[in-house]
Amino acid sequence: MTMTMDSRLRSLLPSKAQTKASVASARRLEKDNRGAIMVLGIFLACMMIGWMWMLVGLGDAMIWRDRSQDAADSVAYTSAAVHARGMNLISFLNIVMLIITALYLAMAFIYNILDFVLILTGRTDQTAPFCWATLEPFGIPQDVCHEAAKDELGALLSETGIGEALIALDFPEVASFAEPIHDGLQQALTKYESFMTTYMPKVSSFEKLVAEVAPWAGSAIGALNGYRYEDWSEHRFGLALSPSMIPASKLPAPVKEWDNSDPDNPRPFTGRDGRLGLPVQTPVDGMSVLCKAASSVILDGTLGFLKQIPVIGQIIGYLLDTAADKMQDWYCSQPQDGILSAKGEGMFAPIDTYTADAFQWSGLGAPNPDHKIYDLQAGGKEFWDNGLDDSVGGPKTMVDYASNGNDWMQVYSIIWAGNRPEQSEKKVALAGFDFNAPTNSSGGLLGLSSFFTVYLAQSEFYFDCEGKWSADECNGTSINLASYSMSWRTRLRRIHGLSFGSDLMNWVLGTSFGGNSGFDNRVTSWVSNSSAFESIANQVGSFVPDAMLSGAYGDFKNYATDAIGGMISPASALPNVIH
Amino acid sequence: MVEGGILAPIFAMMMMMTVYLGGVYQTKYKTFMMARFNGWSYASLNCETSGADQNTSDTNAGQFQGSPQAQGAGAQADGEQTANSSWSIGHGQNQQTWDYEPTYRFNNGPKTIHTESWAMCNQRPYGRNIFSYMWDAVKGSLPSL
Repeated sequence: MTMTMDSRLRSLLPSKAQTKASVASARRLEKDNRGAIMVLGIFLACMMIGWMWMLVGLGDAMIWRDRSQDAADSVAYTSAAVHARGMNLISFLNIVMLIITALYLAMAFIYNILDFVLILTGRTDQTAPFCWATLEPFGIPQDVCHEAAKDELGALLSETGIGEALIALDFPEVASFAEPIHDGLQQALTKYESFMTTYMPKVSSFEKLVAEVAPWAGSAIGALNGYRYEDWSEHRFGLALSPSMIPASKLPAPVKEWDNSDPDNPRPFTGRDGRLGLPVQTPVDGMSVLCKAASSVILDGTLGFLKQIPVIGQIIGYLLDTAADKMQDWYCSQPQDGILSAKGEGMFAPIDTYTADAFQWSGLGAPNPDHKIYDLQAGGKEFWDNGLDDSVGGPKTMVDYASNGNDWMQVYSIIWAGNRPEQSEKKVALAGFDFNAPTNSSGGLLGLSSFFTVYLAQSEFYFDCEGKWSADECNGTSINLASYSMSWRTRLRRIHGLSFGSDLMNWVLGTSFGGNSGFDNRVTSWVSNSSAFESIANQVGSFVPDAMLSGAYGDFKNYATDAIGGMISPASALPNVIH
Repeated sequence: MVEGGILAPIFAMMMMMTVYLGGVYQTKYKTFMMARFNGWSYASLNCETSGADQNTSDTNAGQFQGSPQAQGAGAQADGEQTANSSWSIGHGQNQQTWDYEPTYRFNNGPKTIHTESWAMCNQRPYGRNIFSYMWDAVKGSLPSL
């Protein structure tokens, strides 16, 4: 039995030969390295596939982000360029009106000189206005002057021998030469004044339109440019915003009341806030501003070189400035109907009432009663000093609180760039075994990071001049030079916040803003008093409107605080979704 | 030997694909940078002249620097760049072709990449020269022919 068991067990064990063969096989396997490289190769191949995947993700993300930022830059730059073009167009129209006014002044000035020649030679029957215009600044009443002139001028010329001297100098010939020019100029001026009073207000209205529309047009064209940035068949959607988009009349308070970024040193505000959109307004003096500027241009252009004479030049400069002011007073800014107005005809007197004897020196025969002096139609307050009347208007000049580099020259853009970066980053994260990377909607604003992936840019329009804003070569002259020069350009800037950004946000969130109750309060009041909400409340109780106010609107406020506040005050931490 | 025979082509193929992908993105980024340079320099100078003008009209038939051409792998990138404007919108573009022969079997030949950039023409300062301003305004308002 034992033998039987042993033999059975022994039969189950490998034979010696088999054991030897197994050992040999194990030794061969131990020594056999065939296929080992394949394992390593497959592992490395997988790694390389991951690297390629990461390469694709990195490439996509880099290009998408840079292109998106380029698109944001383009939106801001394009919008600011349109702002600058608007300013250039306004400057161009200002210059056109200035030229029209300068021509008027030149013609009127020559006409008045010819008036003087005709008076001296007795070829006109009107002297009083000239006398009045001369003596009026000294307070001499018009009628006194009139009486004095009609009696004394002719006598003065005769008694002093000036009349005879003029005849000896062949002055009658000069008068004969001047007379047709005088009359022709009178007709030309009549038509010219009609042209001025008809078309210059239209130009002024067009300028106003440009100032209001240019910021919005800039935003639209900028958005169009942003949309053109297409990659992987996806477009960007951009929006450009600037303070110029809202005219001062639409703001909750005048600028002076809410530009309190430096409470210890509030910005001085000396004028009315008539900003039309772009930082320009119609001056209160209206077209008279053009007249003053044109007077300066004419006098400086003709006699300005005399200012270069040492010492005397300063005196001449003072006289020229005074003369410019007088030209404005005479031709463009009459305190009443004016010497340039046809309404002043009552002051003119026929010559036969007083000069028959006095003008014996002239030797030119009877004066021509058809000669009229100072009979220009465009004078008077209706046209020149009526900047507040939209039917007349005036040139558009810079508002005094706007200058190169400040808030009123800035344009901001925001680009929504879709969720392409997140897709790319997933590839990068996956390849890098970084499964905890914030590549999805788990982080970011309101859990919507992929939706609110935005890019920001800032640009500004500026007046291209060498000196500071207040320097003469920039905008420091009395005629507001930046408004008469087509040197407005644009440039990109690093993003910085609006100086009144915090005030603006405070107003949005309910606090007072220049004495106005906050936007928040207005919305709350509107919802509470709305007939629609009242109807809802009547049917379902006041719970729903209240819930909407405290719920949806409250969420909106919180969102606005984070998003808008973060954007316009980048000094605080930017939301991490904003790249 | 057998594994080497199997893995070598796989690795070679993946290396080629890596080089190809690197070249594609390099070319893509190159076109982006060049298009931006063309468009922005052109727009910044009132859409009259630009830095790109010096080689705008040329068709750069040569290889750009950094391409694997230097590696003797038969790769090169040809490019051309232009800048023009229409309705005062400056438009820069750049096109490069990434020509990498080893991957022709997989990608049907050279890869051409085209990138564009846009920005409004920034007017030059005219001062008070209304005639020059008006002339440029008329020119800029016309679509390019």
